[in-house]
Amino acid sequence: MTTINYQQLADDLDEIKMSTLATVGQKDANYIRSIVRKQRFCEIGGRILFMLGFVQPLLWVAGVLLLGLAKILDNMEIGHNVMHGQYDWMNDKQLNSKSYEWDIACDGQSWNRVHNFEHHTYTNIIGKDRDFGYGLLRLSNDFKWRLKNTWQFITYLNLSVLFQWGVSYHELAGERVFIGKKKPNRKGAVAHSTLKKRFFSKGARQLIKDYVLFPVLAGPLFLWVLSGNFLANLIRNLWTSTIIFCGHFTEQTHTFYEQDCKNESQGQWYYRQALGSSNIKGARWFHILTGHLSFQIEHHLFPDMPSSRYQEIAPKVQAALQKQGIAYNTGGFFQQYTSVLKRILRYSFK
Amino acid sequence: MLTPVLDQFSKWFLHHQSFAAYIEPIMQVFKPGWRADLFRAKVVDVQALSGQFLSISLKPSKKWPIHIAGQHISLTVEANGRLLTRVFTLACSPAQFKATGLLRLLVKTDQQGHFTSQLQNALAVQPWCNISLPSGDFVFKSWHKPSTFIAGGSGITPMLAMLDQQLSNTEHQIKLIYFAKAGEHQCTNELKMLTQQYNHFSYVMLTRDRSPYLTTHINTDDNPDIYCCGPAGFMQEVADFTRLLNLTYYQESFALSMPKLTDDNHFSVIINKDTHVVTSNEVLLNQFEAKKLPVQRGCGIGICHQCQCIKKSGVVRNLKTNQLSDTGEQLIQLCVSQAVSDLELQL
Ligand code: FES
Repeated sequence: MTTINYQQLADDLDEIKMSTLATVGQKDANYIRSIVRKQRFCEIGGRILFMLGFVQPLLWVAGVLLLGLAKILDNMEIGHNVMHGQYDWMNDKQLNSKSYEWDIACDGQSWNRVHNFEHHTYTNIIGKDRDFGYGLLRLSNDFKWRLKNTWQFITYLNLSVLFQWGVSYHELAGERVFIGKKKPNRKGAVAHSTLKKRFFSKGARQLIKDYVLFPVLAGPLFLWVLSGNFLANLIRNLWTSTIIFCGHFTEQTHTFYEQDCKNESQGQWYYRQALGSSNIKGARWFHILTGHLSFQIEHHLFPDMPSSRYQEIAPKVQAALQKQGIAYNTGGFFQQYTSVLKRILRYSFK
Repeated sequence: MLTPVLDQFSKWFLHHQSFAAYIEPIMQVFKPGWRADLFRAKVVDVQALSGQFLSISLKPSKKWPIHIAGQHISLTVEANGRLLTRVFTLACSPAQFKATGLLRLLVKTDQQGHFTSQLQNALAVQPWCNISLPSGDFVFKSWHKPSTFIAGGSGITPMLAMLDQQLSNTEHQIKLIYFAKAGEHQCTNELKMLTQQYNHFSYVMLTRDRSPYLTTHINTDDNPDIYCCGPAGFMQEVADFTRLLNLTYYQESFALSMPKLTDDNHFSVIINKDTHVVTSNEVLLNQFEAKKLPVQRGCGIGICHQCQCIKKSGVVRNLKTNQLSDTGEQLIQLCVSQAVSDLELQL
């Protein structure tokens, strides 16, 4: 095994980061605005096509796909990345991490705390990063086997179907807001009452919008719209869940222990980020639909670099990691997804 | 009637502050540069004047309401993808605007300022910019008594607007005392024409080195109202003088005076209307936590944006990039920000 020169690793990656950020500008601003524009066209187009379903059911199918696409774009390329602060430099009121709110059940501020802070700072540290298995799945031997793990594949499927609600409930579960004993290592940043209020408020508005308001406005087309919204949400949930699992839970992703990460240097932090993630190969449209989380490694190394740049820096990152003999875990979608399914199944049993 | 309903709908269900904000990207297809909460203005002309001044002519959209002479607007331009915003006083009267349909700004480009150095380039490539509603209460109030305007440098801009609007409305003496660097007095032809047109108007153009006292030319016997616009120290001097003589005094502060950064400067920070003192030898987040202000801490190393807040005005240094911020409104990360001037923040 080669010994890793962490200082060199940090220097190389910092250099990639600084030289890329120095060129971020108009092109990147135009890019994200054009994605937002496409998202709007898809959303409005999709909702209009629902209403034409009674003329020709295929139009309704097109509507479902368009709205699903709109929700995926809003969730992944726009929401996730804007809320990471990747586009804050634009000073745009509509596209900054302080004010952006996405079209899913999860309250953006809650996600910011758990995902941006907890998950990105303590990536894959057992006990600190609740994103590792989401407290539902056993994905490594670091966790004691329990009977419920036997059917965790079903749990996984349920989680995928209801993914937006899982994300929404994530912080409340960690804080034991409704059930369970509070973990001693968690000092909640926000009062439980606030968490509950924001959870219900955001969730209710999403439900009302898709399952009451728009269907009622459609009058006699109530069921067309209701079912269309339901399917669009389902498509988005399955897609985001699948992509995110591929980015974090392939068989090769590593886990870490809190004691190993004390006084971690920048180089060691980069090392952990690289090994805690995996990439998916694909075409440009595929990367956009994943919110560039198909470049999960690059995203974890540089979470606030505009996603529009991950594709460009990927070869340089790979080279910097290879130089130190650090694995760069990537593969085609089916390869990575199969690997995820195997991992879920393998740790279902002792 | 429909707008408030749509706005409320957008807030609840589309997660945007207004319906206009939601459809902004679509509107921009048809109207380049269109922004939800600002007015669109076409950049008609940009001219370089002496002393690094720019004269900018803008044609605002029809919806823009008319200003009062002396008021300012915020100007937003997109420079290399960033929206930059600064406040400028309009250098034209409402009558001039009505006659030409154009607004005039006189901007001193200052090489150090991030904004003004980028402004000329940005306006050269972007045919559209955005402006806000006019605001400010530095307006003429002295129809029934003499008044004296004292301008320093680009402080002349509100005076130009006020003179054009008010000279025909009053018979009392109006005197302009105009300080600028040698050769940098602006719009001298305009001023000359006004003296020919109005007997009750006079002006003197001075440079600071020749006339060290700002107040020598004030005709105190007339007991005039004093209007002053210029750098902070400049206005302070005039304000002190008027207080001594009990003259009515109005001022417009338009520039930020920036002290040199040495390690232990103290600055005042206005946060949600309260004023606090901070030092420059510690990042803002630590100091705010010590003061028990409602800040959020995340990673503490500039990754997570938990500590982010809106800076309304002032300059900070980003310790991660070692860059100075703009003076205008933008988002900053408190955990890596060091104060470089007085600040106004919104937590
Ligand atoms: S606390 Fe994380 S960026 Fe400041």
